[in-house]
Amino acid sequence: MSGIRIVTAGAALMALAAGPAAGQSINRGVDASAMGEVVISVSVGNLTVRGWEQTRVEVAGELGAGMPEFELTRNGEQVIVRVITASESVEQRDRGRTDIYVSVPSDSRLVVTTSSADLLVAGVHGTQSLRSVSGDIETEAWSALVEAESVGGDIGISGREGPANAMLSTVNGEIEVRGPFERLVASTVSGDIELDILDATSMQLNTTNGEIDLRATLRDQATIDAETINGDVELEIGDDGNLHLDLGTFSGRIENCFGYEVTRSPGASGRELRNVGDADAPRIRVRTLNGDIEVCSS
Amino acid sequence: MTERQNRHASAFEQRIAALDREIHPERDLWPGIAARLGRRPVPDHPRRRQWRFSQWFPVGVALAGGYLLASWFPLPWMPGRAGPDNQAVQASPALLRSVQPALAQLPANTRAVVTSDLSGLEQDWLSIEAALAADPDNPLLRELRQTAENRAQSVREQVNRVTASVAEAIAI
Repeated sequence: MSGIRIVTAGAALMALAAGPAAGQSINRGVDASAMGEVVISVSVGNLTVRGWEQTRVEVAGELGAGMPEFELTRNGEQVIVRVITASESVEQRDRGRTDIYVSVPSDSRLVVTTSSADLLVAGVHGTQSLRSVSGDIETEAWSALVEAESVGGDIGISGREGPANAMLSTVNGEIEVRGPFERLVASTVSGDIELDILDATSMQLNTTNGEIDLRATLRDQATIDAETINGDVELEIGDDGNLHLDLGTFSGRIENCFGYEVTRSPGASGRELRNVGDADAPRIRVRTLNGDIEVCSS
Repeated sequence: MTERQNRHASAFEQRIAALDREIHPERDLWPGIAARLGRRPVPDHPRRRQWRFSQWFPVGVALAGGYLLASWFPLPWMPGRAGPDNQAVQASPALLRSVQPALAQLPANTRAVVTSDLSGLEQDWLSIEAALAADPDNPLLRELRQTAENRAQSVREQVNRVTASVAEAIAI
């Protein structure tokens, strides 16, 4: 393996590799490809990744308590950064003491995995694949795909340049998205989904126990598909009300600003507004078991 | 009801209506009753039975435990357990149980909330099944049941995928 490999796991190795000790500062760098892949793994604390114009990956920050393991490796087009606290108990780790800042070429493909670390990404224009067990994820989307996945953390993403694509999923957390997105998938089990979207073509939104609150402008032929079990759905879409609506709630109510009359499902419980509006207009489909639905235009 | 029964019922109602509704005992009977019960003093105001936390805590724990067990291991008589149309629902406990190895790798606080979420997901599923039992042809409920089924499957895959990838990269 070419490049630099620095591993610290105990005093002997630390002395051998001249690596950082627990609670110490680190400041290391390695040359990188302008459009290569950067793989970062951080267990706890706070991780900030920023894109910059240099063809170099630099890692700086403070290592937390325990017996930290630090690795910075380049292998061809790929750079690997690992900051692992080797404590056996995650609960015993002090999240506040590990603060890592990683600077990467702005067009890098980014792959980040954290356990309990909160993640902030800014200025990375390449694709992003971000995963966390219980940390929050916050990032910017430019024009490439962003995939963010968590089990117990919140996800926030801001679109910056051209319409981007994003796939966001958490189990216990909220999802917040703002900016131009062409295609967006957002799902959570327990948490709200709050969106302010420009120029959307396709959105699939799903929360089990949470609310969906969407403000959006849509492209022609756009589709929005929103589902909840126990949560309200509030949509404020476009500015002319030219929409095709297909709405249904089992035990909630439906309100709209377009004058359509809500009906009871024929021969069944629930209320619905089935397939009303221009068939060629953007299509809005909403389903909920116990939530209210409200659809309006700005 | 026959005509004879109707006459009897009417006469009975008339006798009831004629009863005096303002009759009170000629004396307060309670002191005598109390004396016969062991001469315990009669309180000025009847005391409400006090709620004792220690007395009811084990009952609460048992009920909560039973609820969780029923959530994770639904019994055959539970709503939506029978019938060929419910094969997907019958599979759901297995789906959730299959997440247990991944859950065991999570930090305790995350494991607690995710376990609660998954249990809630299944309860929602059962709620939809119960509603479908009363309204079997409701297309909305059928759509929601399909959504809940897909959601349970995708959550299972997500929990397994994230924990596996993090364990490989970091060792949770």
